[in-house]
Amino acid sequence: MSAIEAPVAPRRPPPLTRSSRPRTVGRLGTVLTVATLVVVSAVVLLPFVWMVSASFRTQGDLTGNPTTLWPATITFDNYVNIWQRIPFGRQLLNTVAFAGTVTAVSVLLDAMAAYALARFQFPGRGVIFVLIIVTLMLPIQVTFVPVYNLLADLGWINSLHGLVIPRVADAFGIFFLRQAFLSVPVELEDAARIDGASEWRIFFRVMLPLTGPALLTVALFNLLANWNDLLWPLMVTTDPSMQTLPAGLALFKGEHVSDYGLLMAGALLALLPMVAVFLFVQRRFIEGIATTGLK
Amino acid sequence: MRTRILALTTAAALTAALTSCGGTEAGSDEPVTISFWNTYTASNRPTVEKIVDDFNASQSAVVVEMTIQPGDVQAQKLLPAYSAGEGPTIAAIDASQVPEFASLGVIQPVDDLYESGKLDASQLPEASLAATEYEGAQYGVPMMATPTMLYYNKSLFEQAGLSEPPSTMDELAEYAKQLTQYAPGAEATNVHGFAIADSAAPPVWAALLWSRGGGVVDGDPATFGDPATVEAMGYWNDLIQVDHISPVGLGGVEADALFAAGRAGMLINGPWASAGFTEAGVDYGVAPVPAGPAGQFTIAISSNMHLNAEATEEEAAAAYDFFAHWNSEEQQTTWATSTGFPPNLTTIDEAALAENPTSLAFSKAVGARFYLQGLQQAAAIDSGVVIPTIQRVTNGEGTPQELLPAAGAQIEELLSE
Amino acid sequence: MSAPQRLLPRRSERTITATLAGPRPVPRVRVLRRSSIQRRRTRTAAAFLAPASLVLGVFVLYPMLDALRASFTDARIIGPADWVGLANYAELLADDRFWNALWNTALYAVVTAPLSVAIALGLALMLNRAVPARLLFRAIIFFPFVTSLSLVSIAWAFLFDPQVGTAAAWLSQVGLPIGNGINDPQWAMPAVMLVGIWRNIGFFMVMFLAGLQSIPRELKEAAAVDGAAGFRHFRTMTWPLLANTTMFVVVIAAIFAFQAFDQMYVMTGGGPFFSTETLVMYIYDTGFEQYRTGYASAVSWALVLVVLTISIGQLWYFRKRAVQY
Repeated sequence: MSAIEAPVAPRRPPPLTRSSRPRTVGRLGTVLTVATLVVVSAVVLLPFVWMVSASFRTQGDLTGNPTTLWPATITFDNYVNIWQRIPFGRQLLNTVAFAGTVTAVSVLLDAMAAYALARFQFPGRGVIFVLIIVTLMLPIQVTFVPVYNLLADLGWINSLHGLVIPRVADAFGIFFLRQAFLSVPVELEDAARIDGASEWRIFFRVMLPLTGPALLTVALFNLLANWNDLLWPLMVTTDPSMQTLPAGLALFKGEHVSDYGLLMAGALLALLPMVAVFLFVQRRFIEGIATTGLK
Repeated sequence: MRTRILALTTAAALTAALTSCGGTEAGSDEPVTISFWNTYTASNRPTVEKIVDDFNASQSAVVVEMTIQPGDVQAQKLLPAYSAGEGPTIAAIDASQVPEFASLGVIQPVDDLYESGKLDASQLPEASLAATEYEGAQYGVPMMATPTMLYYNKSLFEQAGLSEPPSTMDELAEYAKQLTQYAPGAEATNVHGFAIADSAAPPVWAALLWSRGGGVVDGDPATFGDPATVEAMGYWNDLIQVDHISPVGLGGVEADALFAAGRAGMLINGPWASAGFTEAGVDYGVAPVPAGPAGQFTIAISSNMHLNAEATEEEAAAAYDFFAHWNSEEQQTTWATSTGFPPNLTTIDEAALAENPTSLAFSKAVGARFYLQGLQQAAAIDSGVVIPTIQRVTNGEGTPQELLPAAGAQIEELLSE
Repeated sequence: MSAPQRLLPRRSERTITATLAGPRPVPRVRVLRRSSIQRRRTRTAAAFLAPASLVLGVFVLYPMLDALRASFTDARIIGPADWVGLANYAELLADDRFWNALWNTALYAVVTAPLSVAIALGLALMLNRAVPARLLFRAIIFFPFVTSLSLVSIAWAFLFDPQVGTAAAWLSQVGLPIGNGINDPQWAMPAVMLVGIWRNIGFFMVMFLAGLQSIPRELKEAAAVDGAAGFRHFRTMTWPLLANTTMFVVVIAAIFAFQAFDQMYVMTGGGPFFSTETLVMYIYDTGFEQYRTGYASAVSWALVLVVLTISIGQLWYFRKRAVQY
């Protein structure tokens, strides 16, 4: 991604023709766009509205008056109780440790592998690429038992490294970053080679900075995937002190009856950090492009 | 980069080596630690935790480490864990799974627990003990045993001029018709007389079929393809299609939601739903599922605790102590009054249960029997044949005459494999 | 994020050309013996690939191959497993429930993948411009991807519960009753498709945004000077330059669609009578509810074959359209 070349987000829509209409068309276009976005947003947010409503109601209110979204009385009990009913704070920390570590390491490993696949010609390149994509295709339900047995054989059950290491490379990130590296102008790389830089130098000083937004995007996706992962941490650990947030929240789901208020309160609390990360990444997108465009 | 990988791998190897020699060696002074897996999440969790904590606090010879996981997670982990040697000492599973687990050899019989007198089998639910027998050996210790019963909405009953719950199945059908206020296209406001869940719930349809002489497999009044079952299913299906006593295709959660919202006159379910209905402000009563022409039947549900086949003698003894604790009078009273399940001990006084009327009511069921008891193919039969067939019938994709004989043949095939 | 000045030539010295015909080979920068350069580059490539490949190989590929091996046995979740050759595959070819699941999955994929990609692209184009509250809209549209799908499916299930659901009641009031909603065999699949599309549009949108922002400004300005109007501008300039990203999104969308599971599991349980049972649900049922691991593995590998064929087709289609700067 040639962030250096990337366009500054225009303040006005680019002129469509050389006629004298642009401003009116532009404004109408913007109004229509915003209207569409508002409608889309309303549909998108609908389940979250329900979740928020459920989190501020008692269970009896929710099940007794299910057709309305408005609480009979607004209660904060769910948000207060959730910290006691499960060790929310510790599980939050566990989740941060797990997801954070995996993300940090995986972005690096994925970038390296993606760089090799995008920029180097070597025998078997196509086969390796396809193999990597194939790893995306088998449902986890099927690899559950073999992976579990492998971890048990290694003695990695209930350990932090058992939790982290199997996840530090993922095909999605490699695939995505390969696209990003393919978009970097070859000339930039070649120029660096002409200057005598080593491959590592080129990678760290040229390729990575140029694909900043893509790296951030992959980091975001990996963070999300691991933050919300229920099955993997539960597969590897039985020790309650190592449990992550999804595992804790799952305890409010019963076979027959669930504590919906607590469940939704927990789910909303758990997603706030992810929203913050997303906003941070998106700002960097826009900011990054804006500043480099000025050079 | 290479050094980092090397470091990680070395660290991993070291950790693995260290953890593998860190197992608890129970000397004469150190308590025996045993693990206990179950799926009592949500509102039952505090009670289960309390009973375990009481056990750990009451003596110093045994420590029980409990792991509670959602049902589907435990289902995925349990057998692989056993196979990898990481299985729990005690596992609580539904009675329907015992044949599979016993035949795979991952759990071991506990006859000596009963023979030694530590636990008196005569005081425990007979049906549960029968359901956890496999090839003549007793594998289970009751953890939870309950029948399903008939919830009825007293306010709706009053409005319809009914004062008592139905005493026969025919009356139930009549009442259901009277309680139903149905207008086509008004799904959001209709009131239904009898909410019947066909999936993700206790198998209510089985009880409906049994009561009229129908059934699913041998041991039931009739098997799935028999004319009696065709007639029974047709009877209830007509009530649904013509009189709209129940919406079609209700799942367990939806049926409960309908009753909690005060729009279902009756519902067959277990005691776990009662607290929710109370909170939702429903004025309800609990009555036994009434008798039909072929007898009085209801669904029995039971989860039991099982001992790991690879448990050492020490661990087995420790587990037995815990089993005895769980089924002691004091703990069972706590269990019943806190959760609403009936107590496992038949000797507990009614007065002791007075503070939880649900528990009292659910101890008075008649005719509770297990659905597809003792069959290894239970899951395949139920979710593969019975439920889809019922859904086809109620959705008008075929009549019972057309669909049931073929479905019955499918069940026979599954059983013969 | 500043470009290291020493390694990169000044902007004015660079020329950017967009090649729309196939990828060019990487030019050799020094005139030395070709084979030694090539060998050195292969070694370097191997070094870069090694860590990720090791992890993927051990913890993903190896279990996959283990599952492949299991598919030729009659393995139950634990216990002895006897070799049965192709018996599992023969069984699945004759298994109605398998074909039903395959059909449902294919239907689901064919509808949700193109729709979600198209909607995501539209949203990305809208949000790539200077629209007010752009960041807020992006965040909102991305929201569905931020939560656990199984938790939010609970919300969907409640909202659209035909009898007590809020949304069901609203729709009924405005004259669009949903009848028996998700319990109606005709509406169950559209309902889970809707949830699937809802879930992924934010995800694909973010990827398209990344792709859009990688299009060099010179090209956009050149097009503007040429007077390319709105849609033509998109069709002739933006769309071709977006090919790399589009390829990626399309491949991923198909792979994800074929693995649909969570919302069906929570909302319909695969019903009514298997009308929303996808392949992964069937695999879960055979593997963990019937304990037939061998058969479940066979079904899984059948799924892999189907998805792989589709992905290779997609990759091949886009290969000719790959963009190299």
